[in-house]
Amino acid sequence: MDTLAFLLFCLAAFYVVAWVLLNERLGEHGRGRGPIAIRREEPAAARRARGAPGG
Amino acid sequence: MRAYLFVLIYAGMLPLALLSPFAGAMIWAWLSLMYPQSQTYGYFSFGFAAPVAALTLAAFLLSRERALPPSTAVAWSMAGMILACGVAHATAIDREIGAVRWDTIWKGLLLALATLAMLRTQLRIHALVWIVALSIGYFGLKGGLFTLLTGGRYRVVGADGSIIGDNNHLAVALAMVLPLVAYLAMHAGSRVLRAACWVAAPLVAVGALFTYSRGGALALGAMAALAWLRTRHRLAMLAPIALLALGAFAFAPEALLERLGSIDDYGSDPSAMGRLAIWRVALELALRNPLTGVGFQATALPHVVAQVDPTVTPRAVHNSYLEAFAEAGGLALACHLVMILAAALDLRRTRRATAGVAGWRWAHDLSGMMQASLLAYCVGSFFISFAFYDGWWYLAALATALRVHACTALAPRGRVAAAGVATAAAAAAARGR
Repeated sequence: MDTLAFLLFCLAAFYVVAWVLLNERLGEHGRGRGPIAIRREEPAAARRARGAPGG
Repeated sequence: MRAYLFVLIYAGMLPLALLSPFAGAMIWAWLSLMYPQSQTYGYFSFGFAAPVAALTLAAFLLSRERALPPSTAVAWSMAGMILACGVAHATAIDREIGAVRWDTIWKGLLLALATLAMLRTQLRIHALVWIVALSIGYFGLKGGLFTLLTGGRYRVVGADGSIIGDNNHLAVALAMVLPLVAYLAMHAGSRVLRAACWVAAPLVAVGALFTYSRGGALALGAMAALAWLRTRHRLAMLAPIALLALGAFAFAPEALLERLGSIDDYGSDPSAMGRLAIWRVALELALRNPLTGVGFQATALPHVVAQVDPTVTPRAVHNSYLEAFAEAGGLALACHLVMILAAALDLRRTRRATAGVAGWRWAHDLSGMMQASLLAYCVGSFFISFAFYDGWWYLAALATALRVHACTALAPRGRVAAAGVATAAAAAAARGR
C-alpha cells in the first residue's frame, strides 16, 4: 500500500512535468489542456442563472 | 523493488530537463520537497538532485529562456539571502557543522531564483502549484490515512533526512500546503481530480494534526481561519468544518488532547522552557555577531552555547526569525523579513487586481489561498527552525510570479491602477494613452 502510494505520487509528478512540456510544445501557453489544467471558468451569466455566488 | 521503480521514473524524467529548463526546475522542486530518494530505504547513496540541478542550470543558460528573474523585492531578497548566508558560512565559528546546511541553502535559493525567472505563464504557475502540493501533500495524505487506520496512536513524520523529517517541521509544511490543495480542489480541470483534492484536504489536515506538534496545530488553526475568510462559500463551508472539528475532538486520543492542552501551560513543560532558553541564547549570540551571525547550526555546539549560558542545552534555535539572525546575521534576517512582507504585498495586490475579473478567478483564489499558506508559515515557523526551507522559497516565488503575471496582463484593462500596482506594463499603457 505504502509503495503503491509512493509510486502514484512519483508518477503524478512525472505527469505534471511532461504535461507542461507537451502543452508548451503544442503552443498552448494558457490554461493548458487535460485533467490537471485550470478549470474553464463558467460564464457569469450561467452562474447567475443557477444562483451561484460571485455571479 | 520501490527503489528500482523510483530510479526508472527518475531516469525517465532526466531527459525532460534537457528539453526544457523549466521541466528541470520542476523535477528539482519535486526532489527537494518530497525527497523521494529517502523513501527507498537508503538503497542508493547516489545524489539524485545534483544531475538535475546541473542539467537545469546548463539548459537555462543555453536556452532562449535565459533571463534574469523579475526585479521584485522577493527576487532581490533571495539574492541578498545567498550573499548573507555565504558570508555567514565563510566566517562561521565551526564551518563543518553547517556545511551541509549551506550546501542546501545556496542550491535551493539559486534554483528558486531560476524557477522564478521562468515562471512567466499561467500554465507554469499552475503546474508548480501541482508539484508543490503533490510533493508535500504526499506525507499528509499518507499520514492522514495511517492515522485513521491506527486510531491516531502514532506520530506522523516526514521524509527521513529531509528538513521536514521531523514532526514539527512536517506539521507546518502541511499547514502551508493545505490551502494549495484547496485551490486545486476548486480549479483543477477534471471533476475527478477536484473530488480527489476535496477528499485529500481533510486527510492532510488530519495528518498535520497527528504529528502531535503544538506549533503545527497553531499554524493549522491560523491558516484555517484565514482560508475560511478567503473562500467564496463561507456559509456553506461552515458545516463541514464544524463537523470535521467535532469529529476530531470526539475521536482524538487522549494523548493528542493533552498535548494540545499543554500549549496554555508552557511554564511547566520542559520542552517549551528549553525553547525559551535557546531563544535567549540565540538572541544574545546574534547581538554579539550582528553582521555575520555565528554560522549554521552553531547553537547545537556546546562551546558556542556556553559563551552565553553554560546551563542551556545546545539545540536548534526553534524560531526561524532568530535562526536567520543568530546563524546568518542581520542581513539574512532583513532579507527573510522583506521576503515575507513582499510576498504578502504581492498576494494582496494580485487579489485586488483580479477581483471580479472574468478569466482570472483562478488567480484570485490562488492568491487568497496562498495568503493562508503564508500565515501558516509565519505562525508555525515561530516555533521551529524553518527560515531556510525551500518550500517557503517556492511559495514566495509563486506569490511574486503570480503578481507580475496578473498585473502585466491586466494593466491594459486598467485593473492594475485600481489595485495600486505600478508595473512597467502599466506605465507603458499609460504612456500609450
